[in-house]
Amino acid sequence: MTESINAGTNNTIVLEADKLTKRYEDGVLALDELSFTIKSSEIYAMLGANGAGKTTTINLFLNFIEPTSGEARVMGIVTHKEPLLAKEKLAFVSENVMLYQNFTAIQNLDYFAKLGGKKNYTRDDYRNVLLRVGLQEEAHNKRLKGFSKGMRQKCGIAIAILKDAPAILLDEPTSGLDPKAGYEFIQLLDNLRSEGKSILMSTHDIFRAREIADTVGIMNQGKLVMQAGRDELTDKDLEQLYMKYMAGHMEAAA
Amino acid sequence: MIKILIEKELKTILLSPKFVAVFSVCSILILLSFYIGIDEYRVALKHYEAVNAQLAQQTREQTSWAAVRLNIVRHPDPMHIFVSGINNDIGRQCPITRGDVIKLYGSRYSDQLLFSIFRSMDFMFIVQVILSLFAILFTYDSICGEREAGTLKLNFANPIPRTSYIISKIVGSWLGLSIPLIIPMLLGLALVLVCRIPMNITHWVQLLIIIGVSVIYFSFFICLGVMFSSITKAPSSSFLYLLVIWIGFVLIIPRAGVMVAGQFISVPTPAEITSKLTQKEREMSEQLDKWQNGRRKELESALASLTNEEQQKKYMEMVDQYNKDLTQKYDELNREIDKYYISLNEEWRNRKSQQETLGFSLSRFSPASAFQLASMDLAGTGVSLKTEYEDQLQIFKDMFNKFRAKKEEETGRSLFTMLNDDKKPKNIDTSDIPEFRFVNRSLSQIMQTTIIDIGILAFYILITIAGTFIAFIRYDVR
Repeated sequence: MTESINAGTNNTIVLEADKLTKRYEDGVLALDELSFTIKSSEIYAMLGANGAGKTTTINLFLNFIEPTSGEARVMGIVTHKEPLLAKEKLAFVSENVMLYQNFTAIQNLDYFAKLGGKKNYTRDDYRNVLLRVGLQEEAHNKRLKGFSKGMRQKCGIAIAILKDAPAILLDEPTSGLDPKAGYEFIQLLDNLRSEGKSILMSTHDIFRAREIADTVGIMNQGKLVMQAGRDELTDKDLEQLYMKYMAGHMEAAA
Repeated sequence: MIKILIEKELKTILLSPKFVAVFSVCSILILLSFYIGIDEYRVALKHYEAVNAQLAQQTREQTSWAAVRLNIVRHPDPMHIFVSGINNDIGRQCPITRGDVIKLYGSRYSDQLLFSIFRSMDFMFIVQVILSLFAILFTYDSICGEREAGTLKLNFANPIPRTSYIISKIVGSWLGLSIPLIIPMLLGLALVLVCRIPMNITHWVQLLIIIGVSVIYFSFFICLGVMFSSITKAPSSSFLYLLVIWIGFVLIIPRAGVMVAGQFISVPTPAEITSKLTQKEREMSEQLDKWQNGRRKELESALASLTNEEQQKKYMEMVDQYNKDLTQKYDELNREIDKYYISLNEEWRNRKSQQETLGFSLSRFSPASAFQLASMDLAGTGVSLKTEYEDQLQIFKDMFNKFRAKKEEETGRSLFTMLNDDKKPKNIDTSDIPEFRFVNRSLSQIMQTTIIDIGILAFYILITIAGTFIAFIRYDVR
């Protein structure tokens, strides 16, 4: 644990992967000594094909699985050693947000906010945050049964916002969203970054990644094959880079 | 944390369509079973009162104690409303005569065969079969369903201890299923009060314990459901496994246990016993004939050597002696037949008891059997009801026969004198005639047998809770 770290201060490391390795019981090496850091007010986009290890990285941060070696840290807390403490500092939005279908949007928010330790929110707070994520007021008290994927995704983001955690993990959050919803989502991430949140986002969407991320990492077969900051990417075409690294590693693997 | 999780669980259940369905079905069935139970109790009570009134009238009109015939009718018990047990299978009447064997006859199911095909649905049946199935329906997808829906992952992205989550699942489901049980149950009890069913304190305590055992029983199925939903990944697999186990526990094991016991320990049928007894009676009769022939020959040879006058005198003496000896011999043979019958009966009882012990021990591998046996014991409608009733009737019969003999002596009127009396005789005074009252086992006696079944149910719950915790600690929430 790094004691010098302070949440909310710029340049403070909030999320850290330190030689993170995961080999499954069937022998598949899903992550191979992955290392990166994400500071506060920073968005890190992980790009990579299916099976590259993006979701495994997120699962390790959430302690859904334990690492074979190495550590995932949230504000210095090693996730597999103190999972409950680490989860207090994390908010998570999955690719396909699934909430309780028989609950209304506000009931879902209320439950997950309380679960995240926030017990003093009022209905107005829930309404405000739902409006902030772009969910229309008439949907607030409707059961989630009839919600589209975009609407559910907005509820998922609202839950993450309400948790007010210093780090947010997003697992392919823009997949399946229409262009307008995707744009609104990127605006929202920008706002969250300006509030000091650290965001780790796994995505296939190269364009959104380049648009919003402070750092982009390309993963292939469990390895971080390229990592570049926003400044480094300005003059380069990320798509070409992505294809180049994918091809290079495929050749190497062959 | 647990409170939040339980609230959510309960809310999820209450808002689900399956809760509405379960609540409706439970309410209709429980209330209907109470209503039918109350109605049957009233009919049985009317029958009891009518037969007793008729019998009392007949007895009052008798002019000799020798002609008094008692016919004991089983008094209906309010507990039969909730757990009918073997109440409808055993006879409702038993004649008390000098010689006949005590045997209850005329069961409801033998009189009304229609009801024996589709047996009555009492509270115990509803809990044993229907509520246990609902418990599975409530819980089969409690963990794997959330995993499949994706909500489990979202829940565990928050700082929730797994133990708290699993406790909330069990408690939430338990509370959710208790509502469809408790509310109709309370309404049913209100119906019992409104209908003025004479329930005493013991009855209420017994009923309370039956409800408690019911709660323990369906808690087991809730834990079992949560356990399988923590072992499997797909709700469909969980449901399939649970359904197979439910069929095994509720339908197969109880019957299989009894069938196996029947194969291992054979109990002579009433026909076999009657046949053995008839054989014995025939042997005794032959023995008596042989004895009579021998005595007759002795008598004839003794008379042949005597003169007429001597013959006359001696003949009278010998006939007297012969009659005395015959009565003695007759009594002796009768005693031997009685003794034989008692030994046959004792053997039958021992073998029956052995068969029951084995059958129940095997059946108790199923919580459904343990629950059924506990409920029946608590309601006083268990398998021992018939034996206990007949034992008490036997004691009453002996007492009544002594009472009657005493009365005959006092009045000096036997059946014979009555038939030969020309004067119009007075009716007998029946004010002090003994009345048969079946004494139920005390609560502590009942608990001594019931505690085994309650212990078995508690053991099963502990096993499933431990299994649930072990399975869920290792469960992949992704």
